[in-house]
Amino acid sequence: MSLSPIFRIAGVLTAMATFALWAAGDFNMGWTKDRIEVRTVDPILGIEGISYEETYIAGLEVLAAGCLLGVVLFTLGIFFRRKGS
Amino acid sequence: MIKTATILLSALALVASLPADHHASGAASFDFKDPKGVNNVTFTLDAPLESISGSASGISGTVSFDPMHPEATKGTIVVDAASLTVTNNKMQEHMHGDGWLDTANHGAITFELKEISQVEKSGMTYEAHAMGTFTLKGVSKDITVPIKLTYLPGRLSERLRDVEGDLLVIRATFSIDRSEFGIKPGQNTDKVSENIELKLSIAGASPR
Repeated sequence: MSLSPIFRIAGVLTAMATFALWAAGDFNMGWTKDRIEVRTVDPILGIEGISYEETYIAGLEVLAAGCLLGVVLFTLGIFFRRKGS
Repeated sequence: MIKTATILLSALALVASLPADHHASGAASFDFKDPKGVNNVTFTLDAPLESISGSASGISGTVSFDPMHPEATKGTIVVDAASLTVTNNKMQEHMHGDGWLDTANHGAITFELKEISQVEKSGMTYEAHAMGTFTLKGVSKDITVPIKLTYLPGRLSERLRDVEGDLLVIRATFSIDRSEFGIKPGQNTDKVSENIELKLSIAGASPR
């Protein structure tokens, strides 16, 4: 079986999965977040207390790396097809 | 003789009837280590290529405050440098590292309040200019910052059950220049702003 379609499909799936992961984080335009701020106002003091909730929100660098990996895999697929033919 | 004894006894009774706590002198000491962990300092660095923001919650220190003489307010606020938090693990690691804040060797960020001036009172709120020494990464500088004090007499029991006392809320927003404190002066300015905006929101308690 030729490796070409496997690489091309893997490339497309990698890019799509990365985009979905990034989109799930509400299209975070910054760096990846490992925690998010939770603000609560103290009713007596009027001060906004800040706590952190551990979570994972993919950032633009994850999107870029995933898309780049997808392009590399897809290109390898084309390369294998040319070599095979 | 009897008259003198009566006067002495009356004087002793008067002294004994005076409140024994520190509030009698007017100035009270407020402890800023909040058991509920609400106190915080937020920081924002807005560089051309990157905006970094976070907060610190490890606040402690004491401030002496007299509502009748707010200009006599003095004290020290300490921020545990290790409590500085940003939302990205790697960024936080760099921030605490020896290249930037070196929190392992400089664990405390302090502001020693020496003098308050230009006090404007409005009800239980006082707006003023606080002069003091700000210490960051082992470098101390005298700075003046605008502050807002809110005195909440008798409100401590609303936060801590069965504990009578007063609360003092301090708010301040000011900026510092990281280069003046030896934090990579002139370096990485496109991603890490030299100007750091600090917003302090803290409350101290003075139990009776």
